[in-house]
Amino acid sequence: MDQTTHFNNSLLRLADTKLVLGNICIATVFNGRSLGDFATMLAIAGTSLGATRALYRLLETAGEDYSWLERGRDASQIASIDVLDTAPESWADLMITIYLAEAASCALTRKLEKHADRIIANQSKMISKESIFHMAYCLGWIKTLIEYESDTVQAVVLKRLPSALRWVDQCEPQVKEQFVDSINALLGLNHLEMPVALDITSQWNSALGRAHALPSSLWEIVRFKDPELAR
Amino acid sequence: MKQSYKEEFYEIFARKNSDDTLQHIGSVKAPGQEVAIAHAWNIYDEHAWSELCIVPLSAVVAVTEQGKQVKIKPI
Repeated sequence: MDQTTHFNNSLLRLADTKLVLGNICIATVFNGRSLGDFATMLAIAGTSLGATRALYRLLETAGEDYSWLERGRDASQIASIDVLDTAPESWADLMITIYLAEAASCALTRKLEKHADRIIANQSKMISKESIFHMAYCLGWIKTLIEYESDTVQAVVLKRLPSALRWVDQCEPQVKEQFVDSINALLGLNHLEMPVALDITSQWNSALGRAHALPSSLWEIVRFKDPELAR
Repeated sequence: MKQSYKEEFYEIFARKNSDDTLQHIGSVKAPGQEVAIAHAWNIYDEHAWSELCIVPLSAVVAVTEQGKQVKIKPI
């Protein structure tokens, strides 16, 4: 794989992770505990989908077809982090899932902030800034939830973190270091050791950064994917 | 059923530019400071504030006659 393809694949994994994250936030917004949670979940959705569109534009300038990226693909071509594949089962699960997806994507954008292309670097800075804000919100909730349901929080971290670790394992070492730094805060709160990353199996698609197609139940909630809606 | 968490009120203050006085613009209820910051940022987003800050209601000290107790209500 040449460097340009590798770079485009990284951007696509980032863009699609934001796409799926944004849609999950929209689908789960009414699980919020207050108006503030509704507003924050919708803000995460808005900024995530905004990042998706901006990253698709960057991919377009790199030679990809924008309309194919936005509305031309099926579930087997989506490159989102598989931490988001399973529907969250509780508020704690949702907060931890968002935190892990944001921590993984932010680790990648922090590296892209140093990219030689000024547009990519600036766009990455903006996305990182938003992700850090979202992570602070989720971590704030996780701190509270640990007081009330520490067993649930620990179980969710141990269930979802290994697949996030596998996702960052495919990136450059600096990305993994950045991710581990973010995760230490989460592990510290829970008094947990870093788990082992899931294995990369023979089904692993290195371009998409995942082993299987997006589950149909998740693909169902991803909106604005049909070409007919654009007419 | 949703779990009830211990939450606290935070009062929100903001100013549009450095010439303005810092004004009370509302309050949020949240289980902690980080969540309160996110709520304040996302709810009170009607202006591009030059400053936005939160104060836990519990940090507000009532000025009263000596010995008199007053409970400060969220605004």
